[in-house]
Amino acid sequence: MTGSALASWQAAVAAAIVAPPGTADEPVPSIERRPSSEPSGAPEPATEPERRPTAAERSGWPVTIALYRQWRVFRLMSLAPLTIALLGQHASSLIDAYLAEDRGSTSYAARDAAGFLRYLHANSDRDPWLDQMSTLELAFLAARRPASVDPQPLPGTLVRSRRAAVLQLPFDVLSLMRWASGRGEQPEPDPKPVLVAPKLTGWVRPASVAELDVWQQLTEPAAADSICLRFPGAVATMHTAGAILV
Amino acid sequence: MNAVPAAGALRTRGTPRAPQPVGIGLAYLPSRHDLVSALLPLADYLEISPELFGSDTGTDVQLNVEDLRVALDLAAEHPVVVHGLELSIGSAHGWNETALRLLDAFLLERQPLWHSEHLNFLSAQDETGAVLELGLPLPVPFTAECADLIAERADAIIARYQRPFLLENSANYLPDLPADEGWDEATFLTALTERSGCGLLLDLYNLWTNCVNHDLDAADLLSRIPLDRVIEVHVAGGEAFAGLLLDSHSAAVPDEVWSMLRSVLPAAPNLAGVTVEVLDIYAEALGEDGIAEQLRIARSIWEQR
Repeated sequence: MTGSALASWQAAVAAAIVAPPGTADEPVPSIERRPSSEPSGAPEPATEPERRPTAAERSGWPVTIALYRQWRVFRLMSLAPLTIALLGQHASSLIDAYLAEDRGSTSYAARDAAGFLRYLHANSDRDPWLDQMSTLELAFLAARRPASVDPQPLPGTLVRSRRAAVLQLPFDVLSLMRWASGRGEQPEPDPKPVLVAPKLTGWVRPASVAELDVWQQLTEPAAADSICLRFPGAVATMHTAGAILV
Repeated sequence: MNAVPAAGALRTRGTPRAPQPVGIGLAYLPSRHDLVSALLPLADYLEISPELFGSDTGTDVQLNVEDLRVALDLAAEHPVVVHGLELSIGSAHGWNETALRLLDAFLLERQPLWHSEHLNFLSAQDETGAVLELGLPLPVPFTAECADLIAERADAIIARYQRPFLLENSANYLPDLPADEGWDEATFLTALTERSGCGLLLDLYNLWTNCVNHDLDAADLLSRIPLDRVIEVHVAGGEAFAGLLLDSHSAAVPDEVWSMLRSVLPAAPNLAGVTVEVLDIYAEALGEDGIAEQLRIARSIWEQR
């Protein structure tokens, strides 16, 4: 097997694994076994008794392909659980459609989950519940990023954290999450702002009107003195939550 | 013909300077710090993977230093060893630089006794040149050219980090893994150690799954693997799925694997540690007592070596 043959074999294996079910031309890449360069001179072997196939021969390829799908689905369900719960019986077909469109563009779970949530935004029927939940879970993914993604504010200024968001949801966020996880009634419309930030337990809580004001003031870095004078309590709580940086 | 070359024909490297024996290791459980705290007193070191702290920034993947420090605080009184997950050292198109960047960042926080990676590939280039990231560990062919490719990369890693670097034998579910004439897993591991300065991380459960799934003889394989290059051993348990034994780290270590450990220890003079692996999503099923029992058995065998 030469270097290019190794690359070809790996490409064939990868293609077989990521192919949507039933679409692969040849589900099992062909074997390349390097022949001996010297004839052995040995007589043809006598017919061997029929050998029982090994476990790998019986199910090695189907299991490998199944493990690839299970692994990606597990990652999506780990990082977008509420959105997938909301999809209900449509979840499996939408996940399959996403996997068919995005055949392994990243090995990182958060990037895969973000891709799935954006795919839903672009491809699913506009459903306000689903839109809100996928927006919220995209914000959760941002909140899980490392602190190193945040800018270092200039002395005396306040800036938004890139890991935080203030979202205007048409439903109470905690009721929405309880309902999506099967632990409550479907909430009535109740528009409220929510704060998503890295240092909050569960990354989310309702935001106060003052916190919404602070967030809107900080579309650009702003002088800390003036904002703190006008919203001292909100600046303190948002700083503690990791939503704004001083 | 690509049969195994005579030993003298190979570029033989010295055995890497072996670490001092440490004892029994516990694999880090990222979502179960309670179990890590409870079980670490039964272990001599913690094995930890930098990729578990890789965090997507939207543009790249960076080490989440805050989370790593919390984990390392659990092992404040214990040495650590690093077990990489995503280098993809066997990918024909090249390895995963992100895994090395994460390791670089990890080393700024803690110096491990040694570090290791898997003998596998996780990505491949398609016909257009695009890289498919599979995230699924896949075995590398048992060929001389693949051994050369990986040996060269292993030596580059040893040169970069100047510390013992181990490669771990993988579970292989594929029925038709390419191999050179006369080569099998033992031949491949031998060739790898002869062509590079890497040590071996011998995963006995992976070896056992290969024996079960491919009808191979474990004793025969072990007799031909260069055990003098084994620095670390992994033991774990798994489950059957669709008739295939999986390397799922989801169960207690089977008796066959403990027996293999008993046979390996006297023949592995440079062995520094035996690590018990349990995947954290299965830790609840095995329970604190169940994992503690695995650590105790490992220690009792270790102390009889």
